[in-house]
Amino acid sequence: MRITPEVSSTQIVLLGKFEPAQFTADWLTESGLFGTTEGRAAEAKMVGKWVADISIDWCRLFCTAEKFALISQQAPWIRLSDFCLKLFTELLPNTTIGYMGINRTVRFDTGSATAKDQLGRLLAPRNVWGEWGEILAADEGKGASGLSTLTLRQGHDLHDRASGHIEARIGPTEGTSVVMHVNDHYEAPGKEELAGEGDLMQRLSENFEKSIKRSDWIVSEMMKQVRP
Amino acid sequence: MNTLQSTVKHASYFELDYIAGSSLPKSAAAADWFVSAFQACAVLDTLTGEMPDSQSQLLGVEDSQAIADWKNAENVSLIEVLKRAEAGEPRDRVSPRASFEPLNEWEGYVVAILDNGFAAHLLDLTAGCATESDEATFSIDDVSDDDRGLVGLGAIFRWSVGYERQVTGTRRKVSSLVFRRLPIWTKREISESREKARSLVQSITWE
Repeated sequence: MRITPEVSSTQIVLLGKFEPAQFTADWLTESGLFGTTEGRAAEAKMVGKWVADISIDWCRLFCTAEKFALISQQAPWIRLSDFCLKLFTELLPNTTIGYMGINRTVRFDTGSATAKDQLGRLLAPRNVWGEWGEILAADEGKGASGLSTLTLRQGHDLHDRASGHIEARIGPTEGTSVVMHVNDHYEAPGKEELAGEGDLMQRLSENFEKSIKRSDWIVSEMMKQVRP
Repeated sequence: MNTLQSTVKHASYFELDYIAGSSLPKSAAAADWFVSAFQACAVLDTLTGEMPDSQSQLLGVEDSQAIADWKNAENVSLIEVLKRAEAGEPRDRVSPRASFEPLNEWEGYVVAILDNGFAAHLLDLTAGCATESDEATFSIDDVSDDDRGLVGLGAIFRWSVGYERQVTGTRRKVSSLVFRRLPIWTKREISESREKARSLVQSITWE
């Protein structure tokens, strides 16, 4: 990437039917997904049978009846993919899933308030907003007005999935930084499938690193627009 | 969307009717449920809707405090406590976990076990190499306690060099070795590999 990110995270999100209660630190350790030391140090918050929220040094597992998410702020990101593949193809292959997101969130510093404002104006020129745009322009550099969030979607020319899209979102955050979120979304051919036999885990195995690389490229393209 | 709206929106994901009630049960179990539910909301925010490190992380931190306030409050609804929390100053927004941004990454596989370490062939992923181009030896001390049991001939690992950022904001360059916990091969993968091998053999023309 052109600018070294301040912080970034990678997430794999699955929508389907899950049983949060079965995810415990002990079970994940016995299954070989957590190391013994990691498992002992895991912070687990279980809320009855509804929510499982387990954190170890490098990742956080979060699960409700409809959603499973694995999140990490620490590379190598391939660990997330290995974890999900082992979990859903080897240990819980009969889990029903329908949608998958391979997502990247990157926060980077534009270097100055001026550069941040310029990027915001480049993405959302004020003049196309007419008189209201002029009112907004009057506040330039003060931080109270300006671009909030912008999302762009690619829904075609995606040959690496049965169905889905890519969405990239950008918005301001604290100080002179901006944050980008890229959602690489895959849908199961029949909208529902068994994880061990279906299409989504196969796509995860084949596409994960390509997806991360593409997301980072999308972020890099935006970084190129920053004028220090 | 402000914190309260976001809270109610995502609370509805769990049980809106329960939260919308003006008098909520204040048992420890119910309070714990809400703490986790709101932390869950913060994560879901990150994953599904809101910009990740502003409202959602703020929500996670503020609501934990709000829940603590609510636990101690008498005859005050959760909504009221959240309104009060929203009116207050934003608290720490920094994610409580260290992060590691890779600058260079290699995939390696172990080719020899040495007295105090191992030798490996490396594939430079950052440079986009398709074949292994480097060889290196690593000390066993470079491997975490949890991963040492995974070290063996043919074991696959990732070697990354990058910036580690602590929760305090301190940044330093570090090297990290992580052995992969790969799933077993599925029948389909074995079958596809056989097919690829067969296709490769057939494509070779001997002179």
